[in-house]
Amino acid sequence: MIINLKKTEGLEFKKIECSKEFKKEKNISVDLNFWKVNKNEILKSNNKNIGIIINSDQSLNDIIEHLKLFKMICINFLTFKDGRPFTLARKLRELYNFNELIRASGHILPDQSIFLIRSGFDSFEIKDEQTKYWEEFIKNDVGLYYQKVYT
Amino acid sequence: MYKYDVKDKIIISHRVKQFREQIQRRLKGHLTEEEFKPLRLMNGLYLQLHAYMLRIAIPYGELSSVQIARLAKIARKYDRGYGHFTTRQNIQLNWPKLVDIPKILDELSEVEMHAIQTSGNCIRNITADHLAGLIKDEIADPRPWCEILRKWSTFHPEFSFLPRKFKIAITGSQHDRAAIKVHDIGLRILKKNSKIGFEVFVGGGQGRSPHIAKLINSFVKKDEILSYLEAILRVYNEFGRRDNIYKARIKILVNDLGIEKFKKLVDKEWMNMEKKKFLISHKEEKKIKHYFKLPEGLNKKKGLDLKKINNGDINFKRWVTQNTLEHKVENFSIVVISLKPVGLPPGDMTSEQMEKVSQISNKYSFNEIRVTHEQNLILPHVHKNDLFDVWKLLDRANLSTPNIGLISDTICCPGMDYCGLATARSIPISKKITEHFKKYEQQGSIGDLKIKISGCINACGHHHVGNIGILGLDRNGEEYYQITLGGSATEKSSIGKIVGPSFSSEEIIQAIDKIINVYLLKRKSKKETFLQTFNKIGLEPFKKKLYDNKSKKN
Repeated sequence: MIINLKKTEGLEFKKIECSKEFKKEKNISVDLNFWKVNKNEILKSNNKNIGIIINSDQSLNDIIEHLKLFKMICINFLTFKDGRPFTLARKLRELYNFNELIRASGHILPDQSIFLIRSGFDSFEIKDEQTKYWEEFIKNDVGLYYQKVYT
Repeated sequence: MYKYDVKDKIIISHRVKQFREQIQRRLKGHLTEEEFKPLRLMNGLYLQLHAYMLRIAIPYGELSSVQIARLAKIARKYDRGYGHFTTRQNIQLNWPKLVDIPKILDELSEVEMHAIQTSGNCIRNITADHLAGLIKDEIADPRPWCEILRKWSTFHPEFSFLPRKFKIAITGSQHDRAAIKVHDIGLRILKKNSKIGFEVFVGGGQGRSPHIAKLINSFVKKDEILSYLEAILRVYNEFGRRDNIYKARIKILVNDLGIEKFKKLVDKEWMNMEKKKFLISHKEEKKIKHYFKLPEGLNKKKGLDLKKINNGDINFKRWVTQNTLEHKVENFSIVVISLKPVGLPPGDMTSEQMEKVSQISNKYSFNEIRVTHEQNLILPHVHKNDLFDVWKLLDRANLSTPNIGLISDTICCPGMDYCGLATARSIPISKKITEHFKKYEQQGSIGDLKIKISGCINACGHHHVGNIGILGLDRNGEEYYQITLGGSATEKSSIGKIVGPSFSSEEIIQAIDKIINVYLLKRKSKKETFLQTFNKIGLEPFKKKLYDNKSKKN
C-alpha cells in the first residue's frame, strides 16, 4: 500500500513496461531503462503525469536535466541497508529544489520512516502488513532533532 | 561535565521506548534477525560467541562518579559483576540478556547515559584526548566540539545507513593522544590569526588494510566544521563501496580515488551546501563550553603539605612517578588508574572496583573520571596533598599497578574468549606479558613501550600502531601470533612492519624477550625509546635475532 504525507488528490502512477501502454495511460511511472530508451517520446508527450523509478544503486545523472518533467521520483531500495537514497532525496530537495513527490519503495523498514521523512521523502510504498508499524512510528515521533535538515 | 538539557532527555527516553518495542517485535517474529540486526546494533547490542554484548557509550570518555556507580550496579544486577573498557573509551557488558536490555537502557538514561550508535554502520562515539582541558600544551579544549559533533551525528537522518562504521576523533593539542590519524576523520584544533579552526584528516583506519589518514583541509573555520563534515560524509555515503564489507570504509574510497580527487568531490558538495544552516551560534558555543569549565574548587589555593607528599613508601613513590601527570593548575595532579594488573584482562573492572573509584572521585577528584583509549581510567583533578590517600585506596582495590606507558600496559581486544570474529585469543597473551614483565625495575629500565594485541585481522586491539603489535591468527586450528614492529598512533603515526613468520603461543614470550634484548643492546642511552631505536636500526637486527637459529618451517 501507499502512504502519502501530502494530499495527492488520488494521483496514482501506473508502472509502464512498453510504449504501447505509455500512449494509453495518463498517470504513469517508468523505470530508468525505459526512460533511457524512450526519452525522446516521453519528452514530447503532453498532459501526462510522469513518475520515474530508480534503484538505490542508480544515480540521478540521467534524469537531472529533466527534473521539472516529473511529478514523482521513486527510489527503490534494493536493501534497507543501502543508505544512498537518503543522500539522493536530500540533494533533490535542497540542491535541486524538487518539490514533487519523492517516494521510497522496495526493502524499507518502518524504523527508517523518520529518517526518510527528514531526508525529504514524502511517500512510501510499503507492505500491507506493516501499515500499523509505519503509522505508529510516524505518529509517535516526538519531533525533536539535533540536525537542521530538510524538515 | 556536560549535562543533558530537556531536548537530550526527551530524545534519549524516546529512543529507549522505541528499542523496547523493536525487541518486542523481534521476540514476536515480526522482525527477522537480518532486519533486527542493524536496529540493535544502532543501540549498541551485539551478538557474540556466547551471548549478547552491550556496548555503552561514554561520550569522549567522560564519566561522573554517579555514572560509574550506576555502571557498577548494572553490571552486578544484569551481568556477571564486571565491565570491560574499550579502545574507543566505551564500556562493554559481556553477558546481558535480551529481555533485560530495555531495563538496562532505562537505568542508563536515568544517569544521562545510553548505548546509541556504539555500533552499526553509522557515526560512532566521538573520541577525544583523555587529557582534554587538563594540560598546558593545549590550543583549545576538544570536548565542547565533541559534544557539538555528538549532537550533529546522533540520529542523523542521512548518515544512519552508511556503507560501514565511521569513527571521528578530536585532539586539541599538537601532541596527539587521540590517535586521530587512524580514524575515518581526525580533527586537530588549530589557531590561525587568533581564530580557532580545524585541521582535517580523512581516511585513516586499521582493520585488514591499515591506512594513515591524509590531510584534506589544513584549516576549516570552527563555524564551518559541521558543514564540512557533512560534505565528507555525503561523498562517502554516495560513493563508498557497498559491494564488499572489507572495502567499504572511507579509507578505501579515499585511496581508490586519491586524496586530490576525493577532496574535489567534497569541495563541490561543500560549495553547494547551504552553510548557514550548519553554523554554530556564538550563544550555543558559549553554552556548551560552559559545561567543560574546570570545577570551581580547583581555583581555591591550597598550599602543599610536604609531609604528606614526601611519604617515603617506595611503592607510593613509584606509582606517583609512573601514574601521575602534572595538571595545568598548580598543586594538582592527573592520576591514571591502571586497568592492567598482573594476570588479568586489560580494561576489565569489577563492580566493586567501579564503586571504589566512584567514591574516590567523589571525595578527591570533583566527581570526575575519564576513560582513556588505552583502556585505563583517569582521576582528572587530584590535589597533591591527597595523592597518598588516593593511592592507598586504589591499592586496596588492586588498582594501583604502576605501569602506565610501560611494557605491561598492553592494549588488547576481547579476542576469542568473547568475540565471534576472532581467530585467536588475545587476553591470555596479554596476561603472559604482564606476568613475564611483572618486575617494576625491569619494566622501568625498558621504558616507554606500547604493546597492542588483536585477536584477528579486524585489529580492534590496534596492533598496527603498537610499537610491538601482536596479531592472533588461526593456522589449521592452532593459534599463531604475527609480530609487527614500529607502529605508532601519535602525531607521527606509523603502521608497524611485519617482522617475519608467526609464533605459537608458547613461543611468543620468548620472541618478545628477544626483541626487547635487541632494543636494550642497540639503544644509545636509557632516554632512547624503543620506537626511536627501531626507527634508527630498522627491522633487520630484530629479524636476525628472532629467526637466525630457527628452522625455516614457519
